[in-house]
Amino acid sequence: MNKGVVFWIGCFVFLFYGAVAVCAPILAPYDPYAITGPPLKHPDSEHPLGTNATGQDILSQLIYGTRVTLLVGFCAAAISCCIGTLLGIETGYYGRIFDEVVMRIIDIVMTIPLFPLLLVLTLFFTPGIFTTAVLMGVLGSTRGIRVIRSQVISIRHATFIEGARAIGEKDHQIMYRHILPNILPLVTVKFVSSMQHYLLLGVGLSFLGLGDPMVIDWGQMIEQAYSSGGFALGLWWWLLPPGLAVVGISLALALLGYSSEEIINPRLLVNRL
Amino acid sequence: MIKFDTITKTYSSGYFSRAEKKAVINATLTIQKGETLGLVGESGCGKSTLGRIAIRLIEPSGGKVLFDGIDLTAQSKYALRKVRPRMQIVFQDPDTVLDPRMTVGNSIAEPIRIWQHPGRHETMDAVMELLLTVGLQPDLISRYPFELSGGQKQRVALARALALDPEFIVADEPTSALDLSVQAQVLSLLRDIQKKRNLTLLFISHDLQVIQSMADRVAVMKEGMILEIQKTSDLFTSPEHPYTRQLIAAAYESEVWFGKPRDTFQSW
Amino acid sequence: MGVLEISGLSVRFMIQSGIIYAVDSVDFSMKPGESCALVGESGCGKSVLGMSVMRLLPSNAVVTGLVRFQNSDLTGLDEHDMQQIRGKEIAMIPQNSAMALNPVMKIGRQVTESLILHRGVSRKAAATTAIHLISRMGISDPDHAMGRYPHEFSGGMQERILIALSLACNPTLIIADEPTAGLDILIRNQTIELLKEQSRGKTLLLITHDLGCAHNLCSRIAVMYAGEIVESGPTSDVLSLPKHPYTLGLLASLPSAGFHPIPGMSPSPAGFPAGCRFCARCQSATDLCHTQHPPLRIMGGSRQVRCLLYD
Repeated sequence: MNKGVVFWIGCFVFLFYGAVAVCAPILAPYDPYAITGPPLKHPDSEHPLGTNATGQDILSQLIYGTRVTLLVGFCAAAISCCIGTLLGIETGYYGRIFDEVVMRIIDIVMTIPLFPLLLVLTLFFTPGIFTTAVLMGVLGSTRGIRVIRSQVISIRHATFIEGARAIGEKDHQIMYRHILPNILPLVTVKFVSSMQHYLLLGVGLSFLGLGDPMVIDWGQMIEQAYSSGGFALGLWWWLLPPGLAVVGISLALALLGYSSEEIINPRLLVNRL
Repeated sequence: MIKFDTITKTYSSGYFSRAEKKAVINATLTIQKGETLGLVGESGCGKSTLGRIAIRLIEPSGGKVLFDGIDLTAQSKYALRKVRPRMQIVFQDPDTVLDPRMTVGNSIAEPIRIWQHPGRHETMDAVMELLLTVGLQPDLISRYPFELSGGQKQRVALARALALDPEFIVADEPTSALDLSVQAQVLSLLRDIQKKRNLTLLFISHDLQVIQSMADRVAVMKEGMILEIQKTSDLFTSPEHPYTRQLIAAAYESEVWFGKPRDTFQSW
Repeated sequence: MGVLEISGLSVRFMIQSGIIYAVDSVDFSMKPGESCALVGESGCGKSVLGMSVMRLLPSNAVVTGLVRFQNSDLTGLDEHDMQQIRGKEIAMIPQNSAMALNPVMKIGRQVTESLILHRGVSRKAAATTAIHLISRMGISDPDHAMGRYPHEFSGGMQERILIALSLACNPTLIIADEPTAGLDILIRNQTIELLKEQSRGKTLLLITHDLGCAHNLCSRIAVMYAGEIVESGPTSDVLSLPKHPYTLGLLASLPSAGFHPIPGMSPSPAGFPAGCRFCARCQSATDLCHTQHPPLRIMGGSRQVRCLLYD
């Protein structure tokens, strides 16, 4: 399948979700928190997706939920990538003891499974979207650090880096003027795939009730649908939409990540004969 | 001007193992100001390592390097940085010497920007001038390395090395990866620039013909040790060390030595 | 009857931004037992020419013209028949020995593979032949060498292994693509000696930019520039009394001759100017050279030159 097509599909879907998140107040027919109808109403012209157990409009909740879900994923990915890049460059460039110490710490953190660790940690902090995002970002950055570090190590010995040192560039100048631009493609791709990962993680956490109970997002919606007997009562209009929404954005991000690798990297090689 | 005093460089693998590789063993060498010293030897003999030690890009395990009286090996990192603009290096592989994500103009401007902090226009002018010095058209300023040929990239690397007006340049096999006619262009360029600016040059190569035509004096290296040092003409007419003789004989044998009498080496 | 006859061979590459004219209407032939060198600089088309004989060009290559090997037209053969010829009748020693060997396969297996494939011999017989070949290449302790991986050998050794590989099936024609590139002078001479010895009696097409290598190995030489043959003839004649200005320029740029550079750069293979392709850099160019494209003229003493000066 043509990589370009894949990229544009992913891009389009992602931007669509983004637009929905931004324009939520305009698109949603009602305030998602307001009780606008009788509970558990079937879909009709007033409430295209019906209402939930409290009487809130499901469609509006779905639209507004886009915001939180995307935001959590984006923030966590951003934090993870920033930490990963920073530490990756510093450990990859300097090496030796600093590198050893940081790597061992990361090894230890990595052996602890992320999800249970998050579960435990969220209990200590007041739940909130940003807490969740920060925790996920910090803990999840371990994977990114490794990958970025190895690319940095392979570039570190390149002749043009030696040349930069010979000119008398300071270490941090070399790291951020030379190494960073060269690993930017890798970082970008990681960012996109991280976003997918953290988004799903965020949904999972809020499904378990560990997200912010004050805000509505898809995980919470699915949980509510489930615990209100959605399966038993066959309330597919409540269960399916948030689930499908998650699948949709997850796929879009996966496609984006998959296709952007090719587009970004070989660009420099494509013209060599 | 440059003085190597019993330089040794030993590489050890791993933290606890005893496996050692002696890249350079007790190298002692002097290079006079304005002179071109050729350093010749097979690959792996340590000449590239010695070249990098000359400007302390690699730390020697032992010995001293004196640059115009300054003991480089004793300098702190900060003080060393200050000396760096006076000594530069040109590397072998043109494909990796330039940052693939920087334009030619930016690569050349970089040393100027770091040390001199001039305005935008002055930098541009300086870069253009440097490009002309190395025989390149100024319109290459906005090109990326992948758009250039090997010879052009090597010239850009040379322009960058000249940007800070150094007194000493280490040329580590600068033309080994280039075609014959391009090699001729780059070598004659290097020779001209050296004459004009009265540069001291440490020219490293495995190609004896190139060394013979570029260097005033030649040092022969093998397995980390300097075997002999002589004036170029003397080395080729009466080499002392048997290894040198072997190299010269091989060079004469394999090269198209047209027009030149071969009996100079037949005599020994 | 010649071993190799190439007439009107043109190779073009279709790329995103246009067409690359790598080889342009080349006529070339080799007699049995002859050794001929194809010299030129990067981009002149010599490697592409070698690859087109083997039909190993990438899929975006368009080949027109005729390539005859011992009376069979190679351009018309299908892939299956071509595979019978490759390795068995025509062997290639590829460029860049480090990448030409499979890094995860022991060299013994790489040599025997060819034997088993083409000669259909048993594994044991192939192993014996392989050990014999490897020791003929001057590699010490061939039994142990069979079980080693390519990266355990030095560059010179890898080159010898490649030569052993190519000679395994006793081919009629050997195409050696830059066998001495990147080798130190002592190893280079040894490799040249080895190649000389092993190609005795066989037809050798040497592709190189190393004039000394061509001089030592081949009786005939053809100089290529911008996809065309600009001069050809007996090696010692061409190198001592070159006719074409490019050949003259190449010899003058040798360090031993004072490395006088040829001004300018090779033309881009994406589109050649009208007239002689070398005239922009030629010291003796006339006005006519810029408009008229010189044909390859036959001069006395089996020499050919493509230059208006000799018209």
